[in-house]
Amino acid sequence: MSGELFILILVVVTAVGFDFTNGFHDTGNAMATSIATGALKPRVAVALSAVLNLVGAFLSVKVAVTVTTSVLKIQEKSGGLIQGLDQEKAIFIIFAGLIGGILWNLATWLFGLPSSSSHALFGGLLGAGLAALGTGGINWNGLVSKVIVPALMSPFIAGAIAALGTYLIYAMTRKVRQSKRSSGFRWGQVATASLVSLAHGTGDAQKTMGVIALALIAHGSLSDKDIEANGLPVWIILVCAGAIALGTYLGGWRVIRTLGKGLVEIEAPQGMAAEAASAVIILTSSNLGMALSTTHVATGSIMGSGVGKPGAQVRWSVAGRMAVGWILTLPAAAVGGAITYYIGHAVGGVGGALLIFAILVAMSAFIYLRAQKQKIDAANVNADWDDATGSVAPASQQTPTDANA
Amino acid sequence: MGSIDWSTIGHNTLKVIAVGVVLGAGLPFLFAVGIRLWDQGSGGEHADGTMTAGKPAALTAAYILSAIIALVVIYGVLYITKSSLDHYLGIKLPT
Repeated sequence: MSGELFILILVVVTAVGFDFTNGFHDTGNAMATSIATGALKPRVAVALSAVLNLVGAFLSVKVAVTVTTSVLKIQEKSGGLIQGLDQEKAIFIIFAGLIGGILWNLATWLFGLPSSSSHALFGGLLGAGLAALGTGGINWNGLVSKVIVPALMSPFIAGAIAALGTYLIYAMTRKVRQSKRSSGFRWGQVATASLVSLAHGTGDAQKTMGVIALALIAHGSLSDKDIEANGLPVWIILVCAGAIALGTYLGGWRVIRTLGKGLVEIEAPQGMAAEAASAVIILTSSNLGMALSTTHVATGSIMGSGVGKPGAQVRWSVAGRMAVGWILTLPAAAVGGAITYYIGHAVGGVGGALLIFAILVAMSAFIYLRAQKQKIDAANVNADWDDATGSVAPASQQTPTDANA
Repeated sequence: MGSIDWSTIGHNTLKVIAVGVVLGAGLPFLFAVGIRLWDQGSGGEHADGTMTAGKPAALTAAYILSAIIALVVIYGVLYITKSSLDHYLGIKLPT
């Protein structure tokens, strides 16, 4: 096997790993509210979401070039590599960008922060691109208009619409008997959450498919003309759909818990209002070519459903921590991507690729073991929120030292 | 580095808000109307202990409303998948 092929395989494996963390991190966007209100049992909710993500991913027929073209100048609009760019450099940019994205996804998951997987990927690529090509390799216009501006606005738009929906629903159903209200809205909740899952599968799986395709193009084993003529190679679709569905099914329980229990105590009508607002906004915006982050929209909606319900409380401390996480996502993933690129490039070739892959595996294992110490799963995802520490781990799960950490 | 196209951003944002209010808040509101009609229509015992008879007209209206909402949602799903429907089956959605 040639060295280039070996590096390419490592990059594809890493991309699939990113796709997995993407599913895993974002289950909560669709299902946290249904799990918190008891409309669906936790395991059933993640299984449903996984299946819909799988279906959604299979429905992707176009290559999402926007992921790379939005922030970097390494790819033509047609999908081909920009002329004059060194192939090994391009592969290492993609590789380091993915590693930066995965590590940030895992770190935020550890703290139960619902940060955007797309932003993590953008950030990682941005950092690796800056390290490799300098400021000239960055598409600043795309970064501002396609990533930063939508990220600033989407939570507020989603929140306002969810708040309006929640307010109208409660005004209309004030006199409705509690039993009828819960059972009726649970149906609505499951339906809207399913829509969000499907939209997530179609949108987010495509991003990884686009990255894998770009890696193959950089390697030279695929060309933009092949994709144009025959669509994406089927194995890419199969592998990406499987990875995002598996990630979704394993459930980022820590993130689910923060969204469903930490932000607001949620009832079925609020859950439905939040997911309806999320589904409509994600679908409308992606139709207009604005790639909004599912996470930003869903979190804004859930918060809005807390604002819109008379007497409900939003835990603004939790919301504030999330906001800080969002602001940090791009720069933190960028730093991760840049450092990884420098390390990989300094060693170079197969050795460099192996080294940064080993770093990724080691750090992922460390974060995973750290999370196992305060495990959150289907059994305790709905435990009461611990207001004293604000930790994602329920009070019973914390050891005294961890509470101070 | 080109200039940033603020007018397109603003225009698209307004569209998202408009559609969001109509479908994202409007449909759940219609659903709530349906729930209320369903509650009134099915009769039975209320929280204050009074009993009411069922109202078939209200129940019918509730079912019609849910059917309308279901149709809109189904159209929404087809809309998400429209490029695949076209790609695999050659079906073009009416828009």
